[in-house]
This record gives sequence, structure tokens and C-alpha cells, in this order.
Amino acid sequence: MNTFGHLKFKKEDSFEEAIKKLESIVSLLDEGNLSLDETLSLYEEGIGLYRYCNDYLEKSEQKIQILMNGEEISFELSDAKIKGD
Amino acid sequence: MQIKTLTVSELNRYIHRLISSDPILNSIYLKGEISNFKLHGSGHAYFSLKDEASKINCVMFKDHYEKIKFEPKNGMHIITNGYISTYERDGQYQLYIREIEPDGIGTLHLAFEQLKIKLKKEGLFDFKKKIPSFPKKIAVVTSPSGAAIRDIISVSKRRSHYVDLLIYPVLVQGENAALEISNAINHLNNEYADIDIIIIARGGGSIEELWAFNEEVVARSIWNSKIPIISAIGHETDYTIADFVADLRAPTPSAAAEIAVPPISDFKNNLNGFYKKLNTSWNYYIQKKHNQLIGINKHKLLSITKHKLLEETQRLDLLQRNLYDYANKKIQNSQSQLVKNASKLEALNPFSTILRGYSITFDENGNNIYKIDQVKKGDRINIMLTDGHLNCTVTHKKKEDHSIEHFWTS
Repeated sequence: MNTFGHLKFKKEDSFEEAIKKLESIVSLLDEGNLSLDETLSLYEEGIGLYRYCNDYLEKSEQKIQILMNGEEISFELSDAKIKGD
Repeated sequence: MQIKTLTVSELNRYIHRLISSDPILNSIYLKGEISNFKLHGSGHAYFSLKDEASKINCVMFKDHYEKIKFEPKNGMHIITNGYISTYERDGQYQLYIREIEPDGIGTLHLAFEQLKIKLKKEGLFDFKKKIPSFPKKIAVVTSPSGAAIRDIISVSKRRSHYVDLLIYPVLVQGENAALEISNAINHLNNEYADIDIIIIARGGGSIEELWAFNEEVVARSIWNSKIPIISAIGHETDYTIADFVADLRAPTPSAAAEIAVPPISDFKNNLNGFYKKLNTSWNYYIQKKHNQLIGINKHKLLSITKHKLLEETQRLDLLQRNLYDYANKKIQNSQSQLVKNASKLEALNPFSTILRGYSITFDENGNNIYKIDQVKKGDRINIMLTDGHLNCTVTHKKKEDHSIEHFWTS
């Protein structure tokens, strides 16, 4: 799997990186020009990436922040006085 | 009555004072058509205003000229506000303009049209960056207390708990608004690598209230932004310069959020699509290999093997034939050698002399007798002939000189 080492899932991968790797694996497998060993290990890698991404989506919590003096601090709508148009 | 003679300077100064003290000439509104427009390097503008019959020289100093939003041009009909004064050196009176407004349409409309034409010519409306389909973090440049942010937050919350929002608070109207918006865009580009999309937003308002979004400085920042920008300014019918330069114009802030924030279900569908494809590809691959294997087993392998076998047989045949030929030749060679040797041998065979009528004599012990001294009278000797032996007794012996002795002794 040396040739596809860059598609291996790493712990520090972001969701975007993971999904990009998954996408590459899917298209590589879709072409179908690989050896059995390569196909098998890419498939396993792909399933691992899928599980990671799926978990990530389930667990993610939306952050709404406002930039105040160069810092990102949590923002609630009730913090601001809303004026209508 | 004595008439005082004046110098030119004195006259010009007198007229200057006279004109300056006139309340009407001190603040007048004058309309006309611009001609001979010239913007000097110092930043002051010089031109004439004319109508069908007459014209007047005009000056607009840098401080005032910088404040006009549109660009004055020859042939343009304008309404000006200013005062009449004289240029003492040349003895000319002229209009010192404080403000200009286009005659007919409003200043802002004209400025809008002019900037639109200018930026369009420069190509700022042509290139559009792709809005990422699956952003993680979206920056919203807007007022934190406006209606726009309220709409964007509520739409985002409804659609996805995955996408984060970063509000970049700015003034969205007033004199500093354009610069703040422009700086915000630049700042986000330079300092925030994790932003996928910028939304610049403002609720509805009059053209004056939305004006910041028509300023060139904002347009330039949008154009220079590496991060894709969605504009969402005012209501659906409001178009600003920012809208033209932005990578995408959303009709309202809510719409911007709907465009930028994909519903979480899209993410999941996308992911599940990958999962399905992964499995399909895998199954297809295995099936393909399986089929290949079956195909090889049944037909190819057999015919390949057969062919190989035949080939080897043929090769073996050929080798055998070669071997045979080689052996044959070797045997023939040996035979002819043998025959040759045999005839040589034949020539040397002592017995062959017998055939020619000679005979060989042996003593009783089988020793060859070739000299007369080897026998005595009365000895028994054997004589060998071609077809048998004669047993004889020596009755008489006589030594003779014979030339043959020379052969033996020599």
C-alpha cells in the first residue's frame, strides 16, 4: 500500500481531509485497475474513513462566534439588541 | 472734481471687494454644461460651465473635489453650489465651486453607474470563484445587531449543526462603513485560514443606507479576496456594486445562508454515497476477478497448457532427430575409420604372408624360428600353413648367406 500511503487515515486529519481521502479512494476503486491487495487495503481504509466522517458529523456541534478585539468569542442572538429593518 | 487715477491692482482689488461683499454672489446655485475639464496634478479641478450663449470659468479645489462621488466629465450637465470671486492677477471673475450634483439624476445614481462601467471594463464582474459545497466555517461581515445576522443565524441553525459561523462586526452604513467592510474582508483573508466562505450582508435600506456597498474600496477588497464571497445586501430588488463583484449574489441574507450552509442531510447523503460506491466498486472488482478466474479455468488455461505441451513435444522431436543424426554420423565416421584401420592391419597381418605361399616355423615351445642356429638336427619343429600344421623332424640343416639376414640384423 506504499503507493497510496497518502490516503491512509491519520488521527490528526480534519473532517475535510478525511472526506477528501475517502473521495480519492472511491474514485481509485471505481477505476478498478488495481491489484487485489491494493483494492482490499484501499477498501478497508475507505470504510475506516467513512466511519470516522460519519461519527464526526453525528458529534459535531455548531459554533457561532463573534470577533471581538481579535478574539473569537461565543455569540448568542440575545446578546445583541436586534433592530428591525 | 478731481478723479483719482487707479493702478490695475487697485482696480482689481476694488472689484474683488465689491463682488465678495455681495450676498447673492457669495452663495449661488448655478447650472450648466461642463467643458474644458482639466484635473490638475495638485488635485484641483478647472473647467468652464456653459449654456447656449455664455460661459464662466470654474475652479474646484482639492478638498471639495475629493468629496464628489461621481466623476465630472465634459458635456455633463451639473448643478453647482459655490461663490463668485475674482482672480486678481488676471482680472477675471470665476465660480469657486463647493459642491456638484448631476442635473437630472441623483449623484449616487450617477456614481453607481460610473463605477459600474469602470469596474466592468476592468473585468471585476467576470471572474467568479466556486462556492465550496461543504464548508466548515463561514464568516459573516455585517452588523451584529442587524436583521441580517439574525436571519443568517436562524437559517444556519435550522440547516446544519455542522457549519460554524464567525461574525465579523462592522458598521454597515455611515461614512466609515465602506472602509470597515473592506478592512474586514482583507483581514479575514490575511489572518483566518479556516474560513471557507465570507458572506457580506446588510438588511434592506435606502440607496444612501446601502451606499457603503457601492464604494470602490469594498469592490476592490471583494475582488482581491481569495476566500469566495457571497453578497446579501438589502432586499431582492437592490443591486449594489458589491453584488456585481461578489462570487455569488444572494437576494437576501436568509438566501445567502441557504446557499452557503448545506443541510446536514446533504453531508450525510454525500457520505453515504461514498460508502455505497465503495461497496459497489469492491463487489464489482471481486466479481470481475472471479469471472476472470472462471474464464481462465475453463478455456484459456487448458488451451494454453495444450499448446505449451505440443510445443514442447515438437521441440523434443527435433532434439531427438538432431541427436540421431549426430549419432549416426559419429557411427559412420567410426566405421570408416575402422575399415581403414582394418585394411592397414590386414596389410601387417603376418598370417596374410602364409596366404601368399610362405609358412612360419615354430619350435616345440611355440617360439618362432627364423634363424638356422635356433635348431639342431633331430629337433622337432612345427610348420604352420594356411589350413593346418606340419610336425617335422630336422634331418638336415645348412646355413646359407642370404640377403634377408640384413633386414633382420640391420
